[in-house]
Amino acid sequence: MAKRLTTLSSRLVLIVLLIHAVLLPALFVALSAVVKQNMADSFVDYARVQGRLLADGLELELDKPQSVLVAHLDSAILGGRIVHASMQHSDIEITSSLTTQSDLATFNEDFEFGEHDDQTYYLSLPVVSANDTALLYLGFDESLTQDNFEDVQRSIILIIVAYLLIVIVAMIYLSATMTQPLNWLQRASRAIASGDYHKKLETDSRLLEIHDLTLDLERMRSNLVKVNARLRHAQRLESLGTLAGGVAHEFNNVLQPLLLYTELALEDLPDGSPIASNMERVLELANRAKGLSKQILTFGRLGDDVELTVMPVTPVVEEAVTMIRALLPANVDLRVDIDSGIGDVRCDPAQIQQLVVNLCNNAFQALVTSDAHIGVSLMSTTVDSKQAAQHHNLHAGEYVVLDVTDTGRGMDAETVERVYEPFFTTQEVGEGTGLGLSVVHGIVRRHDGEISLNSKLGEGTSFRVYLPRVVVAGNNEHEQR
Amino acid sequence: MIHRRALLAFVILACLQAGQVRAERFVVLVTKEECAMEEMSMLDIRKAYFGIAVSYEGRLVRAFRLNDDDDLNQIFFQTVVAMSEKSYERRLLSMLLKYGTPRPPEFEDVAALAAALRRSDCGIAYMWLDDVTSEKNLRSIRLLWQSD
Repeated sequence: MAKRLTTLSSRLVLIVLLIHAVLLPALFVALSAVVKQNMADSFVDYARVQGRLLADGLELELDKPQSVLVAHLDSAILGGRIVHASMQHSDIEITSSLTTQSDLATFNEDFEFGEHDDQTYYLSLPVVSANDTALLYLGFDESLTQDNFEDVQRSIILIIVAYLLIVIVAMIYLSATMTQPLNWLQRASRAIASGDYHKKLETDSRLLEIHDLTLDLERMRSNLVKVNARLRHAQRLESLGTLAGGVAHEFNNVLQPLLLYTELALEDLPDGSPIASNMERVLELANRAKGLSKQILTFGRLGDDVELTVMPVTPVVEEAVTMIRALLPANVDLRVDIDSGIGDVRCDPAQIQQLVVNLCNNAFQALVTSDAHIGVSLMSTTVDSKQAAQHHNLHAGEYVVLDVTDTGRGMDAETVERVYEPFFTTQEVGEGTGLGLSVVHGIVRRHDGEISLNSKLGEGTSFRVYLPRVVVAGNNEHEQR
Repeated sequence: MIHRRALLAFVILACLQAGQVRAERFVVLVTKEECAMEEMSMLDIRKAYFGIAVSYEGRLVRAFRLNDDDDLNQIFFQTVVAMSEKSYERRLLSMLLKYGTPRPPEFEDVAALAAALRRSDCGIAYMWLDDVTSEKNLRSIRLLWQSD
């Protein structure tokens, strides 16, 4: 059976109405009972005191003529709520001349307000004098108090209805205030689901839950934007690699016979021939083109068919650093921090060395001041799922991390975005091929690794290369993922 | 004095006589036989039941209450103190706090009340006339209520 869906505001109003539907009648009954009890007590107090006063007065006048007693009874009726006043004195019934109920047969003594349905509170009191005893019968009108009580009941009902209306209006306003930001978030999340995720999620709601929900959704949207950007970047590089690799492969096919025939032609030419020097120049340029082609193929991961082997990575990197130290000018500060015995990686050592050289060369190109330095460090680390989620090609597990940092000029965001593209360079025309970092990217991808960079304009750049560490357990080896 | 006692006895007997026909009931004020008190005004009775000192021939009159019968209590509130039970309790508390007047002792059965009356110097209590006749050494001194 499908669940019936309702809106939050209608549910809130319904719940409030249900609670009030239960509580308000109970409140009405309780209030009425309290008010009625108080009014009844006041009435009974009044009746008893009035009766006692009259009886006390009559005790002093009991031996007076009957007309005096009637006058007392008349005075009692005129002075208050007494509707019946009579006396039984020596078998004679003395009744007020103003009484509306002279027949004592209707007398039914009460001890509580409204005890009998006769709208009259009857009480009797002995009137005892020195020589005589009589009985005084009084009746007090209950209808006025009953009317007052009904007025109070009506007032209570009006107050409760007014209160209920205020509560309903307040609930509608409150639920609208609560659901407005939720509706806005719903629209925003639908927009994100349909691909429009560039609008920042914000709310001015002061409700903590809604504020937190907005922050969480904004964090998700922001991550989605970043992941999407990384994905598009990776796809672009992949496309570029495929395209450039294909072109380089075809270009290589043209270069091979060109090199072969040039070498054959050079062999046939006599020494000192002026044509020979031109042919040597052709050969030199063809070899250079071959080198470029090789680099492009490496970026596109089509270049080298050498099988990767499991080996300790430390000596490979140390050898590359030694080579770099020899190539760099003596005044360049190269700081090396390589942990020994950090484990094995499945790699092509020549490509790993090329990777280190290219990164260090890139760092050297970025140095602008004499006190700047290049740092190379190698260590092992464990990547958790949270870190892995921030990178496109990284998984939770054991990795070897190669850091190459410089304190050079740094890069702006646009440069960072395009830094791995082949032939993209910030150097002057002719000073760089723009293939160094493309090759690095290709090598990292071939080794199932990941490369990330942090750069701040004017402060320097840091490249971090993750290579999966191979853990040897007994006779088996496996890469930590 | 003897004339008055005879009159009250006559009235009560007359009422009792009538009660045999009409099943009337009476509530009377009683004291112990040895107490010479012949009559007591309603004002003094009310004072005594509010804890205010009332004396008769130099002897302090103490008021006692019987709590075993709701009807009897209602008659007490209606005819003696002339107020509701709530008002009476409030008034007693107010007088206790203002003047330190003692609350009338209360008893749960007629026998205990009668024993207290007999022990007291000159105490008064209200009870059904039927109960007075069944207790020794007690006599009624005033009619407080009679059923119609």
